[in-house]
Amino acid sequence: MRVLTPEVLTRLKNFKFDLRRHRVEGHLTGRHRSFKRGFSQEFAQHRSYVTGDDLKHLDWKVYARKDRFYVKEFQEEKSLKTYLMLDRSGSMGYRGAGDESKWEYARRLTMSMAYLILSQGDAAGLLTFDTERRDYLPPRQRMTHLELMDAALADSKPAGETELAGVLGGIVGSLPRRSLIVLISDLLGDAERILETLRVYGARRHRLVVLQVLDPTERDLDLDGPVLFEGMEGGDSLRCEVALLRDAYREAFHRQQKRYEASFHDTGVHHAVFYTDEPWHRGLARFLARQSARG
Amino acid sequence: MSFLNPALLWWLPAAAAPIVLHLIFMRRARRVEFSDLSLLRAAYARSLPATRLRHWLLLALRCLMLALLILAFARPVLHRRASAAAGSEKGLELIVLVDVSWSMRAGVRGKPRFETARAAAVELVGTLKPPDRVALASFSDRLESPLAWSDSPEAARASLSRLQPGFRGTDAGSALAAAYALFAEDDAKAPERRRVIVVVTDGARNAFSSLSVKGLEALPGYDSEVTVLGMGLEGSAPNSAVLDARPGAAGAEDRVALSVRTAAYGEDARAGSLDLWVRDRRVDQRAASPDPERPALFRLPESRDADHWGRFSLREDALALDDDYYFALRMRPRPKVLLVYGNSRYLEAGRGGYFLKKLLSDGKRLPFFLDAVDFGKFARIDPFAYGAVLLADFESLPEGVAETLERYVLRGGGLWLLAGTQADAKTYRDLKRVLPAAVGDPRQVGPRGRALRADAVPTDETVLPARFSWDDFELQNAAAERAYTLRPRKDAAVWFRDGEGEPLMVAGGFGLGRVLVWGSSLDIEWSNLALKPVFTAWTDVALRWLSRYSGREQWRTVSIGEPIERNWDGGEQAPVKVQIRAPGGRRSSLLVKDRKIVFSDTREPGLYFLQPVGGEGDSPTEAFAVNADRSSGESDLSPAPRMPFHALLNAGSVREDFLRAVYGRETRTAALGLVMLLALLEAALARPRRRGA
Repeated sequence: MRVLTPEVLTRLKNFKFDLRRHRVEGHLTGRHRSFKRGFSQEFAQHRSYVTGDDLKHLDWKVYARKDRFYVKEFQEEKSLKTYLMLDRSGSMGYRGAGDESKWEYARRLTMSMAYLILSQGDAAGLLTFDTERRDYLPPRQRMTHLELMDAALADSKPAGETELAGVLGGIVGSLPRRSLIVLISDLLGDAERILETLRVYGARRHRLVVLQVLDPTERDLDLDGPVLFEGMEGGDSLRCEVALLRDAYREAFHRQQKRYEASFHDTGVHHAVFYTDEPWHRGLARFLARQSARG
Repeated sequence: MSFLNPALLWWLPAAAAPIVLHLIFMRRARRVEFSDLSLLRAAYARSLPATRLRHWLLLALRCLMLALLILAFARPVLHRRASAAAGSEKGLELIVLVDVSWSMRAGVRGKPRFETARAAAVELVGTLKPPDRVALASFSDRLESPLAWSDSPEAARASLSRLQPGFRGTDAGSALAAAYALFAEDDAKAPERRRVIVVVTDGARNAFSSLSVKGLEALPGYDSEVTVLGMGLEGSAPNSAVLDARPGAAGAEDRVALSVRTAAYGEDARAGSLDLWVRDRRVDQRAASPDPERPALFRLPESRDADHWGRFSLREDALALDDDYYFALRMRPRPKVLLVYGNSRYLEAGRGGYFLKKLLSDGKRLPFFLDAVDFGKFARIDPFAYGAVLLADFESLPEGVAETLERYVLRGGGLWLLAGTQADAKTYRDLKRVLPAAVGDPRQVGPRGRALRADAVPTDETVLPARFSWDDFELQNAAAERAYTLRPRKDAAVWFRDGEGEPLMVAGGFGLGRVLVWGSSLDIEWSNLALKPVFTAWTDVALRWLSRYSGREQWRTVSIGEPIERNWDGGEQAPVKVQIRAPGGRRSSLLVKDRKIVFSDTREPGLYFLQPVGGEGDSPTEAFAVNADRSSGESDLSPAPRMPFHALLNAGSVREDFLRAVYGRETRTAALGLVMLLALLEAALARPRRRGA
């Protein structure tokens, strides 16, 4: 595998993506609790026998004590369907002061998450998008699915404009309810529209994890002199003296990040920011630790 | 406002450099691909007014800083209000006094001080504009040229180009007094003009000797309204000098010895080695002493020539002029004196002739050789071969002797009449015109009048040694019991009197010669003088005066400006004329008048050679030495500790310093302070701003 190299895999050996409290809907039996009662080793409740119940579920011990029929119900466990949604718009190809481009960083992060999810028995699928959906691999539980995902990501390159809100809005209808959506993007664009769209995901009972990948230059704008900025997603260029603009930019950037954090906090979205000047495994470890603590 | 360095104002357009650079860099902005421009655009739109304001403010500040910096280096001068009006409308009267003393010949770092001073003075005159006026004069220890207003600055510059340093000492006082006087003359014509005197000098220690105590205020005609500026030259060059050379004690060897004083001035000054050059050959070398109190003694090599000349030479240093000291001297033969007596027993013991012969025959006690003859042999003797003739103890003069002696004295000879016991009032009748006193009959001196008393004996060092006192020889113990009555002529001088005040020895002149009359006899019957120790000194004084013999070495060294004099004594053959060759090759001819020449054109140091022309036989060339006057202190090039001027101009920036001193207060410091303030403001504005957390 070209993205999930042995070195990456070695790093991932000690990582674990813990999402046990997340209730899921689906057909595959797995390690996640379902809203349905079913068969598992975990007792749920007793209820009165009604006609049509399978007699094998009667609790004969209770009948002996109470002389009434009770059926023993267990918590049904289902497998979790995870959609790894990777932004491959042109802005993800940016490399500033970081050690690598955002795309390379995000691609490795995506594959790491896929590995962690598949390794604990859940199904993981991949969806890349820019202005529309591009690559799509439906969730599967097989580890061999990693190879398909790796091949898809290794061959793709970030390009074109992005319309994050529009694309995510278009995708949400095609996803099964109560899925785990892992969005890997720089979230650059119209923040309000992005947040509004992500709220729709929450309404459809999806559990949303947002991994925001940014370059440190996008945070600090530590450039010098007069610069002619050209957008990687097209549009008009901007000529300015960076020193004079830097303060206002930083202020705007921080304001936007605050907005994201506040909104995600209110809606229960798991949000983590990764900067490309930090080793990917360190950022991932921090995120997973926080995730584990949160449950 | 004016500027001391206005050429820098051409750089003022450079103050727009920040704007130009800004435009260039904006045009050459580097292209950077950025992930998303929406945030940038938002920030740009939001900060646009404040940013642009700050941006332009920064640009304006930077331009202003540069402009102020250029102005500061152009050295702005703020005019005083009153003077600005007067100075601009009424003009300036400038007197430039240029030092041409010989210390200005010194070279500092390879460049003659005078050239530096001249260039500065030319630059100074170049600052003048109509209706300013300028007067120029040079000075040494006196005003060298008349001080008058020049027709134009160009004329003053032309005068400056003709100036050359001289050989005299320095004293700015007389020149300053003359400058004050010129202003005073001009006072009624232009009372409101600004008046400035600039003294262009090397600022050496001795230049202000007359101003050292009270300063400018002590000068005649001092005017407090006149600004006096000094232009001192930088650098204190170490210098060594030969101060002088004098005849020293000859010692056991009968060779001429010269005592040479050297000195070293300034820090790290070393006198080095001192060479003795005789004629064109170096004959000796010694370590020169930096202390003038410790002279070096050189002995001249033995020579048959009577004339010795040469120089003492140090290694050339900052001031080459005082590294050589020229000397010239003539070894005079000891004069012969002729004793002519009329009494055949005059040379017997107890007689005057006996004592004179005893004293003068060996030439050891006194530097004279005595020939004694009676009148019978006098006709065969040429009296002109003798420095003095002693005429003693005769009753009457043989025929022709008086005429011979009169001719002898008339042409410069010395005659000493020593009365004898056999003379009377008629004895000296034939010599009446020559003698300075009329000799009368003999008289008996009373007991109270027998002691000798000195009266008008010449005190010239050529006759009497320094610190000589007759009391040391107990003159009062010498007595004359009998004496002739002497009646001195009006122009005669009475050298000795007896105790009663009667003249005993009278001196006077006749023609070019000198005559002495001793009114008593040297015989012990008449006087005990010949038995007393004072007799030696008494005889020595008389013979030196008569023969004009001032010592064996005739020192022929004078200072620049002093005349060279040559007198041919009675015993010498005087030429008709002489030709003088000066050090530069100049030749002058002088006619000998009254056995004497005076050559005054000693304008440069060196050896002056005198060649007699038209005498009998081949007369040898004689030399005279002329030296710059060391006593003026010009050799000490160290700067004066304090110069009595209102302000000092630096030779390297004379124009700027002059304008600042004359026209106002320089505000460069204030401009630089303002630049610093603006720099701080700029730093504060350019500092990145953090808003919020």
